[in-house]
Amino acid sequence: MRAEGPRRLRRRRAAAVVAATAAVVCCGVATVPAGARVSGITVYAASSLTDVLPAIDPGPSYSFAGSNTLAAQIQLGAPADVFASANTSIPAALYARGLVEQPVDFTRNTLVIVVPRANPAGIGSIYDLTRPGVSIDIANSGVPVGAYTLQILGNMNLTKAVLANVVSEETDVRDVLAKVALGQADAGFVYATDARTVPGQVTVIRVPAWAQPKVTYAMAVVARSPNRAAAEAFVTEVLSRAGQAKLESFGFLPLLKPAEKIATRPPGKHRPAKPKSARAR
Amino acid sequence: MRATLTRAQLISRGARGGATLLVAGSAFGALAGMAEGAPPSAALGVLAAADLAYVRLLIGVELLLIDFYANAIASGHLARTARYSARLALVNETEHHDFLAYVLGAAGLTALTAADVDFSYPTGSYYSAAPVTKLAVALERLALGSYLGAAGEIANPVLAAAVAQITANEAQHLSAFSVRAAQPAFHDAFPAPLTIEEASNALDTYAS
Repeated sequence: MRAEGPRRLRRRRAAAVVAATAAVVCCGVATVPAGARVSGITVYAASSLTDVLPAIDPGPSYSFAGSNTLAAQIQLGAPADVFASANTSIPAALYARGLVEQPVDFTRNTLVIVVPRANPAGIGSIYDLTRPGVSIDIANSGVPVGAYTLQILGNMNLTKAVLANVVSEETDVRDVLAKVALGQADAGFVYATDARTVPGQVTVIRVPAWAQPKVTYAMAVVARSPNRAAAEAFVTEVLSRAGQAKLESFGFLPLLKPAEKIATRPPGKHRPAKPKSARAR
Repeated sequence: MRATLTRAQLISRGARGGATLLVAGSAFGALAGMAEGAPPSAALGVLAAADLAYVRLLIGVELLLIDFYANAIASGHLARTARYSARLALVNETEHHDFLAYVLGAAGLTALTAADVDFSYPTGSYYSAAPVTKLAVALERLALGSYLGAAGEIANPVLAAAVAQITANEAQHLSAFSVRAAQPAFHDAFPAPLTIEEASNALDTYAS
C-alpha cells in the first residue's frame, strides 16, 4: 500500500498540510516534528523506504511510491528536492538528463517470498511457485522490485514456469505485500525489509542467495530544487553513521566495500607447501 | 577441438595479455580457444538459460566451500596433514569458482562474489578437528551431488565436460575427508545426484 496516492491526492494532502500548518502557526506551536534535523524539503522515495526515512528524520515531507512513478513525476517538474530510488539505474537516467545531481548509493536490500501466514498453498521454496494452481502476485517490471523479481526468475531459469502462475501485477512493493497479507495471492516477491513490516501476517521464504540480484538504492538531490542546501543536508544525514545504523535497524544491508578478489596469488604459488608428513607418503 | 593447453601455458598467455584471471585449472583446457584471444563463445557457444542457472548455483556451492576451508584452516584445529588437504582443497575450489565465474562473465553476466553472501554453520563446527572434518564431508557430499546433478543436465558439451572434471575432483575431496572422519573412502557405485532444487535448498541451509 502506498503512503501517498496519485498527484491529485497529494495536492489535496498538501493543501491539508498547508491548512494545518497555518492553524498550528496561528496557535504558536512549533511545526517541525520532534527529532527533525532537516525540514522544508520534499523527499520522493521508493515505497520500501516508507518506514525508515521518517525514522531517520521526520522533518522532511515525504512522498512514497514506485521509483519509476516518482521519476516520471520529477521529469514532469514535480516539486521534489531529493529522490531516493530502490535501484541505481533510474537515478542514473535522471542524472544523464540533467534532472538530478550525481546520485549516491546509500543502502542495499534483498528479496524474499512472502506467503499468507496460513500458507494455504503449502509453499516451502521458490521452486513450489512453479506448481500449477499457485497464485502469485508480483510488481510490474517497470518498478525496481518487479525488475528484480524477473532477474531472480531468470537467474534460476524459472521465468516461464512462475510467470504462468502470476495473477496480478502491482505498481509498488507495498501493494504486493498487502495483497499477500490479505490472502488474495498465495505468494509474492517483496523486499526483506517490507516483509518485516507486517509481522504475524505473512510467512517469509528465502530466495536462494545464489539467485539474488544486487539490490542497491541510490539517492540524489533534484537539480531544480530551490532548497539545495537542505536537500544536501538530508542526503548527508542518510549517509551518516547514524543514518546507516537506522537503515540497518530496519533490516537494510550496509553498502558493500569493493568486491574482494578471491584468488589473487601469482601463478605458481597456488599449491600449499607440503608438510613433512605428507611428503613422506 | 584444439589440443588442451597446459596450466602453465594458459597462465603465461593470460598474463602476457594482461588478463586479470590469475588461476586456471584443467577445466580451462576445455576453453583453450579463449586463451589465444578468441571469444569464449567460440569454445562454449551460446549457453542455454538452464545451463547458466546451473553455473550460478555451482558458483554458490564453490563460495560455500571456499568459505568453509578458509575457516577450517583458520580454526587451527586441523593436524598438519589435514590442514594440507584443506589448503589443497581450497585451491581447487578457488580454481573451480574462477572457471565458473569466467563462464558467466563470458555470457555477459555478473557472478555472485564472496562479498554478496554470508554463510553460517552449525554451532561448534570449528571447535575441534572432529566437527570440522564432519562438516567437510557434509559439504563435499553436497558439492558432489550438485555437480553430479549438473553433469546430467547441462546441455553444452564443453561445459558438461568441465563440470565432469570438477565432479571428479570433488569426489576426491569427499574421499579424502571421509577417511579422516573414519568413514569409508568410497561407498556407492553410483553416487546420487541432487536435482537443482535439492542442491539449492541444501546450499541455502548454510546461507545466513
